[in-house]
Amino acid sequence: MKPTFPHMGTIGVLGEAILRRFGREVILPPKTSKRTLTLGSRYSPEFACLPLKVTLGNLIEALERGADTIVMLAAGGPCRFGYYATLQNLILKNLDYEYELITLDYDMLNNLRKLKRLAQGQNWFQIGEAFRFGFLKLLTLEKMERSAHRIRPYEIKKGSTTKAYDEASRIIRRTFSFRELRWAKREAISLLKKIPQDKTRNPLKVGVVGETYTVLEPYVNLEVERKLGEMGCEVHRPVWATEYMISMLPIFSRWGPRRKYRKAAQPYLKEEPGGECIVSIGGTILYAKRGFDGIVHIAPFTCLPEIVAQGILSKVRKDLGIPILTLVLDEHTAQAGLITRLEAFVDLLQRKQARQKMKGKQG
Amino acid sequence: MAIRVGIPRALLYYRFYPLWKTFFTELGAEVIVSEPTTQEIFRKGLKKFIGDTCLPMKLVFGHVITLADKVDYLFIPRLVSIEKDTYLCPHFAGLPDVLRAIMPDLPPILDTYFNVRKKGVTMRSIYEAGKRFDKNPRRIYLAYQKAQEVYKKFLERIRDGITPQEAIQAFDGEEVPPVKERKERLNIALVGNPYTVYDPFSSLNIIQKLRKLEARIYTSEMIPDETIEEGIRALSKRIYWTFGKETVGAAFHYLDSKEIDGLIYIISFECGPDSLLKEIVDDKARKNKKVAYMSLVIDEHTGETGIDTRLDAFVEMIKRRRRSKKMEGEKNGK
Repeated sequence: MKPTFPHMGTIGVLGEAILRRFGREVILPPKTSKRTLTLGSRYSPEFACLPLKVTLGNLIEALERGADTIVMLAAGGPCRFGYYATLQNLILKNLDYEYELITLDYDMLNNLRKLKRLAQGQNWFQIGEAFRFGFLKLLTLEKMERSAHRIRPYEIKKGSTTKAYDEASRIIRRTFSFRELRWAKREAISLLKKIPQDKTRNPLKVGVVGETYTVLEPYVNLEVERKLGEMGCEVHRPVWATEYMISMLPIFSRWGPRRKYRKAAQPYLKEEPGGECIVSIGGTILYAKRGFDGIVHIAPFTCLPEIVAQGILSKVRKDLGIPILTLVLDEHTAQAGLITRLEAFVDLLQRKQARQKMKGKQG
Repeated sequence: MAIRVGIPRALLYYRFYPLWKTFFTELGAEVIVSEPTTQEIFRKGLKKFIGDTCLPMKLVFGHVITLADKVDYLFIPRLVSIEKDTYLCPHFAGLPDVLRAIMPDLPPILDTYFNVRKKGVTMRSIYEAGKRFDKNPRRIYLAYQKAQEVYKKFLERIRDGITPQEAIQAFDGEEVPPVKERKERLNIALVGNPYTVYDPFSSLNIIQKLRKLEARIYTSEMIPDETIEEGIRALSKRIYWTFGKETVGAAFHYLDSKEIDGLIYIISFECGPDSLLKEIVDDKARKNKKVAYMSLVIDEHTGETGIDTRLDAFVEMIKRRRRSKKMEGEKNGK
């Protein structure tokens, strides 16, 4: 059995680490590329949401490479994500691919049974250790990403942070035991520390909120975070793969990491419409209260929960006076158009910052 | 003077209007429904809406605007789910909040919270809906029971073979010609979200058009729930959207049954659930050679003539199929 699963930002690291510790030969789909998108959109329903198309492309490319088992998450509605596995299964079967589909959903008992099968007779302790390792690895990687976001606006040579981060993530991704990971972490941190920085700058603070998949997957959002960073913005975001995984577990649905966003969004949205709607709104409000300069809201075209969020964010913007740029992405989104919009947005934020400074001096 | 409650003629109006109306009138309120959708109502809504969404959601905005200065309360319930173990599309759960965020000067919205996914309709949400009109829980509950009875009769009428739109007309006291008197030669099943199919504006009056082409219409409301569940049993994961489930269940049922000549699936552009479920219905219809199938994706830019042409062609195709089948039968007979 050679399992595979679609990419979703860094979440793939978790899956790969766990399955490798189970002693499986994992076949990862190649990095999401133009071809992935073309393949995916050719076989998907025409106006399905973007993540469905990209992940379908991922799966096709992985099956071409010889994978024979697909592991998918399938949470239950009302967002469309819960139905991906079923639909992609139908499409792939019609394309005559042969494989086995393993879906992990809300039925926990059944999930454990499926895990046991994937784990090739390892005992529960070993399975637990595999999960612990996977999460630790993912956390380490996210820590690197967080510091890269923090360092990028201060870098003296443009692109040096991205280069250092890519190297650091490669080092971390290579590890498959706790000990290796500890060493890799040290090495990665020192790599990021070596980046020459100009600490006198006063960067803008921008929050990136939106639908999990598009925020996490750099190819799909055309590396919005890197672009913002290189335009001189310190990027923060409320959506992280680890938090997402934790909030997927039913026991944490109420008390998990999303609680603070739910609380912040309460005056605007009383009930959770699913997806990351509540995080987008709550995150925006929390960032605005922390004095951020602007928010970039990312959503795939026709994303159901994010359209609700977009409507409500228009009120948040008026109430809290924070500029919000909504980027709706689909397979036709082009680099040049996006860059122009981001530049205009950053320009607006810079002027606003300068005006406030002037006012402060006069006052 | 009685308190005036406004119900927009959109979305779940096409499913629950008799229930809501009876409930509020029983409690002594006056129910005001917005006018049937027109181009003007649609434009009004479009101007206000931020971002892009499906046509039915844009229409609600227009209806709400036209109602705003005529009523004391707007009834726009916060519907998470209206059936066990299923959800509505996420838009419904956020709708009252989005309306309030975009149009702050609306009359107060009765946004009763309904989530019957686990426990069924609770006494609390019923009381919540009725407490502005009558403080007595017993009277509210009685009004609800009366509304339920009326609603059940309404559903039964639909099962007899009239469309929900006509059933609502009948409920309002208008004359609806009985089914038997019509001259109908073709049997066509029409599936899709009720608020897309039965709103004459968004579906471009497709029901009347099909009738003119001498077709008898079957809808997903005409078959009992068990049959719908039966229809989708073959799927590996249960569909968790109420209307998606009904649409696919009905489509599967009609495709398998012998009573239907053609199946039309109406989708509004950008409808989330339908964008995925279309693929499933398409797949099943492709494997079924006996029933003609067509899916129509509709939005505000869809031209009426285009639809006319497609419907004509569809009906013509069915007729031709019948003729060739007849001829084959005669040949075999010899």
